[in-house]
Amino acid sequence: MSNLANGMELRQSFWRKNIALLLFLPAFLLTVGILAPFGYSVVMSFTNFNLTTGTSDFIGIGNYVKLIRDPEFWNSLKVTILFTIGAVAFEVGVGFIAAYLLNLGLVGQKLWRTLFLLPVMLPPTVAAIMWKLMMAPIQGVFNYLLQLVGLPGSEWLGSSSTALLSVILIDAYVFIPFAGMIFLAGVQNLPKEPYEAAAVDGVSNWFTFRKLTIPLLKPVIIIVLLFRIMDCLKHFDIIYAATKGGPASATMTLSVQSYYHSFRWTAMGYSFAHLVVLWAIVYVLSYFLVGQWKKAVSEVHGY
Amino acid sequence: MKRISGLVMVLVLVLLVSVAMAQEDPLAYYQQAKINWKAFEGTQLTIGLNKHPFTESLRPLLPIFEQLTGIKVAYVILPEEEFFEKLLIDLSSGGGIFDVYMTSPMFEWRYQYAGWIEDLNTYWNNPELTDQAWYNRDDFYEKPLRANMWDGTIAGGLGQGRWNGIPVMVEFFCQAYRNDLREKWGLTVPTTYPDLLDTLSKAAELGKQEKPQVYGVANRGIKSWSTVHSGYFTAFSTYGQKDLNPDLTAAINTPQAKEITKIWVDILQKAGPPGWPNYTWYDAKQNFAAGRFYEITDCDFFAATYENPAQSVVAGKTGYALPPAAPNGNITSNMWTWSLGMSSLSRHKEAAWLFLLWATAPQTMLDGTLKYDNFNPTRKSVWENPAVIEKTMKWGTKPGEYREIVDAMYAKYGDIRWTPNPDVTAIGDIWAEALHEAYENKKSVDQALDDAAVKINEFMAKWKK
Repeated sequence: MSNLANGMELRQSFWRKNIALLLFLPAFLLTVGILAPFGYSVVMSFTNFNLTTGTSDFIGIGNYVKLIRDPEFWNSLKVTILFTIGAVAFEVGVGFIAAYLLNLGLVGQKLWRTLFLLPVMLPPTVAAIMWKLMMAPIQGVFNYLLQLVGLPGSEWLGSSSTALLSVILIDAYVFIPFAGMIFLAGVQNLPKEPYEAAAVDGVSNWFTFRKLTIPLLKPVIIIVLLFRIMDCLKHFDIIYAATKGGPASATMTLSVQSYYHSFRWTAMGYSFAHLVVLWAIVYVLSYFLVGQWKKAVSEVHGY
Repeated sequence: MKRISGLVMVLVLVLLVSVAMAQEDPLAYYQQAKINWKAFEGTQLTIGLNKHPFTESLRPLLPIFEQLTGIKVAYVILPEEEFFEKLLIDLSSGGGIFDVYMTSPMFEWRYQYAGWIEDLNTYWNNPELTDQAWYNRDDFYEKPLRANMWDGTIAGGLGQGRWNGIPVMVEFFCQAYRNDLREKWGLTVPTTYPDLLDTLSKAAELGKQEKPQVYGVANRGIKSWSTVHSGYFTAFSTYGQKDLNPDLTAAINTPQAKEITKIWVDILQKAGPPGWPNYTWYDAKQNFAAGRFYEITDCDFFAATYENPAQSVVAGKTGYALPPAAPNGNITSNMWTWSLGMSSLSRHKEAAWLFLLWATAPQTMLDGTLKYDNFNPTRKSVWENPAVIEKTMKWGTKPGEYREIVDAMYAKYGDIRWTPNPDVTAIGDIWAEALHEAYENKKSVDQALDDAAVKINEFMAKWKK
C-alpha cells in the first residue's frame, strides 16, 4: 500500500517538476525550427556555397567584403529603403484616413468595411499580376482610361522612372486595408472621457485630434509602423512578380537581389550574405520600434 | 436483284473498312515497336512544363500514352521564368517532384555540372527499353540534337559525350512584318541593321496615325538571358561577335559589339514597345498577332500563331524575311530548342524513358505539329510531311516564304551561339541588365557593356583552369 502511495507520489512529483519543461517544449521546438535555418544561413554566408559546383568551402568574410565593393548591393539597399519609406508612408497615411472615414457611421458602413478589406485577402503575387495586366502600356486598362480623358499614357512598370512608384502603388493596394483595420480597432477603443472633457472646454476638432487622438493612438501607430516597415524591408513577392527588380535595377530590393544570386545563379553563399545584412537592419529597426512602442504604451496607460 | 444486293454488300464492306480505317487504333503504331510499353503499368510520372505552344500540343496527346502504358501522367505548367526557378528549387533541394522536365541546352549545361540531369545514352543503349530502328533517331535534324549533347568541356565539347535532352521544337530568329502596312506606307524589307533602324523608326512614326496605334517592333525585354538570346544575339553574332573569349573572359564589349548594340538599343528606344524592359515574349507574340506592331524580330515559329485566324488578325498579311546582314554580308541566327530531359532525382527512370520515347516518336511529333501547331519540328519526317508542307507553304507573302527561311536556318544560318558553360544563363541575365541600363539612358552603351563585362569576368573566374 505504502509502495503504491509512494509510486503515485513519485509520479505526481515527476509531473509537477517537469510540467513546466513539457509546456515549454512546443515553443522550444518552434524556436529551434526557426533558428536552425537562420543559423545555417549565417554559417553558410561565410562559405562559397554554390549549387552548381557543389562547393561549400569556408572563405571567412569574403562574401561580406565582396558585398561592400558591389555597387549592386548598395543600389539594392537604396531601393529597399526608398521602397520602405514610400510604401509605409502611403499605407499609414491612407490607412489612417480610411479608418477615420469608416468610423464616421456613414450609410452602408458595414458594406464599406467589408469592401475595404477585400484586397488584403488576395495573395500579394496575384494582386501583382492583376496590376501588371492593368498597367501594361499597350493593352492595359489604366492607359486606356487615361487616353479616354485625354491624358498621355504611362509606361508604369516598364520604365525606371515610374517602376518604383508603381510597385509602391500595388503594395499599398494590398496593405492599406491591413493598416486601416488596425487603426480602426484603435480608434474604436479610444476612451470617451477625455473627448467629453475637451468638448466641455470647447476646443477645436483639430486641437483634439493633435493633442488627444494622436497621442492616444501612438502605440497603435507604432505597431502598424513596426509591421509594415519590417515587411517592406524584407519585401519580395509583389516586386518580383511585377518587375523582377527591373528596369535597370530600379526596383531591385535586397531580397530580389539575393533571389537572383541564389535561385537563378546558384551562388547561395553570396546570397545568404545579402540576407544576413538585411536581417541585421530589420533587427535593429524593430528593436528600436519595440522600445518606442513600450514607451508609448506606458505613457498612454501609465504602466 | 442478285447483282444489286452484291453491289450493296460491296458498298457496305467498303463503308465498314473505311470506318475502321478512320477509327484506326492510335496505339497500333506504337505497338509495332519492340518495346514492352506495359512494363511499368501503374506508375505515376510528373512532368514539369513551360507555358508554351509545345506544351499545348502535348497535353491532348497524353491520354494515348496513358492508354498505351498504363502509366499515369501528372504535370505542372508554369510561365517560363517561374518554371525554370521552380525547377531549380526542385532539383537543388533534392525534392524530386519532376521525373521529366522541359529543358534546353543552356540549362542542361548547369544541370549536368550539378548532377541534376540523366545521361539518356544509358537508356538509349539498353535494348530492353529501346527499339532504335523503330524510333529512328537519325530522323532528327542534327543541329538541335547535337545541341543537347555535351561532354562537359567548358567552351567546347558540344555534340559529344552525354545526351541530356531530346529536342521537341526548334526556333530561329527572323523578321516577321506586316506586308499590308509595308505596301501602304511604301517601306522596304530591311537587309542591314542600319536599314532596320531606319525602317522601324519610320514605321513607328507612321503607326501613330493608325487607330489603334501601331508600334514599330515587338521584341522581348525582361531582365533575363532570354532577352539577350533572341533578336539581339542574332544581330550580335551576325556582326561576328562571341559572348566569351577563348580564355573565358567576356567578349561582349569589343568595338563591333558596341556598334551593333548601339543600333539595337536605338531601335528599341525609337520603335520598341513602350515599357520594353518589362515586356515578355508572351506579350510580343500576342501584341503582334493582335495587329499592334509593324514588325517582330523574335521567334520565327510564332508564325503558327500569326497565321491561325482564330488567334490572330494578321493571318495572311504577314511577310517573313531572314535577319538583316552585317556590313560584310554575313547573316547568322541564334537557335533555341526546347527539349525533354530526365531528372536524376526521378524514382521512375525507366518509366520516364518510355515517356520520352513516346513523346518524341515520329508519330507523336507529327500529331503535335499537324493537329496542335507545335512548330518548328525537330524531325525531318515531320517538316517534310505532305500535310505539314501544305499547311506551312501558305505562310508568307509568296508560297513557301516561311519554309525557305526555316530550311535556310537549318542548312546555313542558325545554330546555338552561346559558349557552353554552366553559368551561361547568369551571363545572359547580367548582359540583359546592361541593355536595360543603356535603354534607360542610365549609362552609355559603352559603359554598360564594359561594366557588365567586369561582372561576367567575376562569374567566369571559377571556371578557368
